Amino acid sequence: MLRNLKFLLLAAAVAAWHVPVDASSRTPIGQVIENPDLPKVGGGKIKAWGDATANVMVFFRPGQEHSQVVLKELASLERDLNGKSIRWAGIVSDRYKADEILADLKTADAKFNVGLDADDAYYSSLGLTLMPEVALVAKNGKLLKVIPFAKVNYREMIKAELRFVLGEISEAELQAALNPDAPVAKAEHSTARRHIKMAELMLNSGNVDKALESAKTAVQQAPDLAAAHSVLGACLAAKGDCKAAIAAFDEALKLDKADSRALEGKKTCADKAK
Amino acid sequence: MKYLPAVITFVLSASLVAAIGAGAEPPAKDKKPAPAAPHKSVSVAPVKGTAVSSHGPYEAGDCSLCHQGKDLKNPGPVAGPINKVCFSCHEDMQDLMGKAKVRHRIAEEACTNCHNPHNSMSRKLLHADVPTMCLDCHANVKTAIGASVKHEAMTTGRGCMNCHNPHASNVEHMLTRLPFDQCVGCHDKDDVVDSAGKPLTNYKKLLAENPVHHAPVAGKDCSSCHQPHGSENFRLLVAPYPAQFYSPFDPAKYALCFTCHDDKMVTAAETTTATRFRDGSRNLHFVHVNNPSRGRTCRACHEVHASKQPFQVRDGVPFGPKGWILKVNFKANPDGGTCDKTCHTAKSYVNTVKK
Repeated sequence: MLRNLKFLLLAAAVAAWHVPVDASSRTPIGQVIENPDLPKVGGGKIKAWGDATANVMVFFRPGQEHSQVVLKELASLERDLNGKSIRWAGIVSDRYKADEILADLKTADAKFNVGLDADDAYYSSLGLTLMPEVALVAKNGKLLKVIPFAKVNYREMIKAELRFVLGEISEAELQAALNPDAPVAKAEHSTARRHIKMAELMLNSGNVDKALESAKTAVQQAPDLAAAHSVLGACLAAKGDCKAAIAAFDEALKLDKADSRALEGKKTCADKAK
Repeated sequence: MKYLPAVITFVLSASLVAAIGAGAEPPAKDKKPAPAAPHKSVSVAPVKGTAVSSHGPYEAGDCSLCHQGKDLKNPGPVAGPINKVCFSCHEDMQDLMGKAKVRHRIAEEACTNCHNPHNSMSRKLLHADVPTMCLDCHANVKTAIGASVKHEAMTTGRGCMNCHNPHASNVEHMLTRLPFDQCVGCHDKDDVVDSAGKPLTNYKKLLAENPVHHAPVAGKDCSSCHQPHGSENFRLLVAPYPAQFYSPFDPAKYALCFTCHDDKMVTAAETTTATRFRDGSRNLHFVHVNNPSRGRTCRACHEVHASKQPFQVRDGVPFGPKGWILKVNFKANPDGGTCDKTCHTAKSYVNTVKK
């Protein structure tokens, strides 16, 4: 009861502070939080957070679908980030039986220790209202982040936050991980490049007329692409029209002086003319 | 029949390549297991009749661009692993698949799982149109689409590809963007309506005007509460939630809220930890909500997406048939709060516990 009161007084004091708070937590980010001794599932005691550079506390509920997902993702992340200065701990209300908790950990293949929170007093003292939630705590006990469950990209989100705390990525890289770009399938001139490739393949297979068609299409689609002109030159040369081929090679070299196909093709045409 | 040998060779080589591919790159330890072999019945043979799309090399009649031989009747096996052959021209796709964090497994396996390398009766050389193509494997989505509450995004525009990239993505579930960005991409206007013609919220505006966001909204995860493919619950909710202002209390009706919030918040008459909305240890959520005849639902006092006031408390509640707004006049105090001249006269609560 005395401990509950201590947490409540702490929470009340926290609520009175006019500082920015995380969307899901009423404990201000950056505040040093309590570090109680919690009875450990399986015997003994554990501290809520430790002296690692990054301390992960996952508040979860046995038997809850979201908690099971999070446990699996964190277990996988723990393996992924093995060897780094990260301490992982689960915190569960003491109204759940050890068997239920251990069964969930086993299903998730999670190896971290779990502390029992008497009547959710610690959870409540932090102002948490959702389950599961992951709290990241610095070595000095400062609350760095509270991350409520998300169905999409949660693992990537936690991983990026941890790597940021460890100093492995910058703020910009963190933001990029939290707000991933839509992948862009179409590189510049992608269709023209496909035609160039096809022209090359057809030229190699001896299908010069079709190769020429493809090369012309490539030039039409991307007149500023040296490779389109040089493959056109190669096709024209293969057709025996070295005059037109040289004009195409010259066009390619105007765009890219180092276009090897144009340089080589022009030389071959010149040799033939001798 | 003239293509039969070629088809047999192609299918056999595709299977072989898929098998070799799987063996060459074992799945990462934590990857989800691969789905059952997709599109077993799909033939990669050229389709008969008027094709809607046709592959350039096939049109050119040069089998050797992809096969080991040139003979139209017997072009022999594919010249290499399927995707390697495809990527020899489709460099942009190789680039995308290479750099994206999430890849469609069957696309990684073989492009021909979804595309006919010769021609097709569908666009983009697909074996079938979208969504038929997608639903052939994604049976759970097919079930969701059949649910009573529909999402128009499933059947308009590009269908599945309104939200998903079928090849690769940087977001789980092959989403092109995070769920919130996807949703607000459409729900950012005043003229979006539901299937009954009822206007839907302009979330861009709502969130800009209301700085206190519900955690899933702040976390850009609309899918925590909504099932975008279709649902049996109103507003595409993933679980039941009362649609009305008043509702007799039954935990099953609040399954949505209790997927994340502990039901003790509402079911415990006395608590010092389950909620801060209490007077001493008297749980005021219990008082308001846990009423077997006329319980107030969460929406009576809270905005589910965003609010101007802390704890997502509403500015006002709609009252009467014309929806007159009754102000809540909530004030948060360090140790509690006050609701003034609202459903009741001014009432304050203090959530510290007196000894």
